[in-house]
Amino acid sequence: MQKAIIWPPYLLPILSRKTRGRPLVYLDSAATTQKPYEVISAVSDFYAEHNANTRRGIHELSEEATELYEKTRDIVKNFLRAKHREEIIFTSGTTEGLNLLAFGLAGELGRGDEILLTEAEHHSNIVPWQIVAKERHLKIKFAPVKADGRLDLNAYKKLLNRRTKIVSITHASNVTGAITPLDKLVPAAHKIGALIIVDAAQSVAHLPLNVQKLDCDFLVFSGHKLYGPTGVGVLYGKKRLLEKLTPRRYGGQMIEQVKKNKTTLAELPARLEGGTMPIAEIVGLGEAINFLRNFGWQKIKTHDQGLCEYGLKRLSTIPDLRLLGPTDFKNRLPIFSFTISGIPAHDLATLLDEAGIAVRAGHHCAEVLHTALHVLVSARASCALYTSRADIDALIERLLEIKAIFHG
Amino acid sequence: MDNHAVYREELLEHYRHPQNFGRMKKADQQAHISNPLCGDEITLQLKFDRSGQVAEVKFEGRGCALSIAAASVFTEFLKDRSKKQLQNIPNGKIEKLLDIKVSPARKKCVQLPYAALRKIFLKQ
Repeated sequence: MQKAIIWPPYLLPILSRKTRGRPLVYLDSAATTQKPYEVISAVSDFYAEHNANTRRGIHELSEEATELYEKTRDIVKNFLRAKHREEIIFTSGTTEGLNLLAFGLAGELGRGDEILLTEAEHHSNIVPWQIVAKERHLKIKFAPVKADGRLDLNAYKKLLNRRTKIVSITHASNVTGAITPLDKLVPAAHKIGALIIVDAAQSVAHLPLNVQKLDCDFLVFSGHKLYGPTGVGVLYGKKRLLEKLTPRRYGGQMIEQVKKNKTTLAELPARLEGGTMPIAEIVGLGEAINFLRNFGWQKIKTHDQGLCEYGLKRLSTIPDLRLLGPTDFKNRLPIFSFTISGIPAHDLATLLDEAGIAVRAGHHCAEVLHTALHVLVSARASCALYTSRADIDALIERLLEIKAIFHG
Repeated sequence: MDNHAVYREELLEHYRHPQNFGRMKKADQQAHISNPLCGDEITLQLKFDRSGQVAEVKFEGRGCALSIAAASVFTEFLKDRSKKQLQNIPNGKIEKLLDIKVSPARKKCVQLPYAALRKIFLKQ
């Protein structure tokens, strides 16, 4: 039996508030996680104590700000087990990371080249490729998912061919929670000479990442799904590939020298970090990673598996409920998307909200996946480290009430 | 919990047994409108009599309980009204008819039938 993680209210201030007059049951962590006090205070301390622009000022504050900023790069480097610190590029989030990759790699792609995605991708990992594909006359292919939402590995391998130049794939689905077996996907992509990009937006707070062991070429994630602030994310890339990547934002510290007719760009990592970055948020991200590391992956894994097992068991007792995604608790994250026949997802979400339970309704920016699973929209309850079995109990109890309300 | 301010039994009855649900063969005016974000869609059809009043109204579509109930009460409201009256219906009328207050995220659901009516008059 898994031991519940105890959260004193001061550690996660927002969880002690009420919504709709009821104690908050926050089950929307796949959209964004709530922030621990350490992260909130790291951001406000930065503004209260160290605020200055980085790298430019010849004054003590600027030195401090730069030091905190670059220290976070080291924290991220160690967190991802990257080889070099300049392989860590700060972005505004996963979406910016994927856009930077799609448009930054476009120059090396030409007519007939193929991009391989999966049906489980978030819109942020589909749309930039569609735009680039149209401009460069590329072909996009989708590796299918099986009925339980897991990737069809055989189909994936069959779709790889010598025209495949880029494989961009999610590490874990934001709808089904299914974890992608990257250890099988990466070598297969490399075998035919394709680059592989990993969207770790959902997995980053749940699974240990080791980019050297994974051998992925690029990996992106957002800070706000990792207990950190919004507006900040990370792009990891192998150094030799980042050196060739075309920047998307020109100006500011990414410049080395500007003449009227010629500009030289700075070295990595500054080269890909144009303009003033969200410095306070980046400092907050470093604190969020420290917060996560203090738990240790073993504890996180036990917690997540316990929630998966319990959540699946309890949800399976609700009549007419269809769960999207794997029903075995292994190799999945505690994300539960479901439909209940006769009760539209948006009505479910509104009625849950009336009881203070926050979930998401819609296609969760994964319309292709919903189509593949033959549903229009779903309701989604998603968990984090602060989610307890009591939260799941509250969800189940309310779902039963809603069924009674709806079916009169 | 007794907070069914929105999902009252009366509203749910409209969802379960919507008024004017169906399709007429020959409508004078019709419009289809959808909200891809939540998958709601509705086709609103109107037939006018010689004096220009609504003689028949139908709607067809799929959606959440709010949008279906909204279409049910709204189509009832449209009956026997003149074209001019239809054009002057204010935004927010459906919420008044249903006597509910919805959160910003759900406004689109409730207003979908109204949006379909607007679309008919924009086409003219």
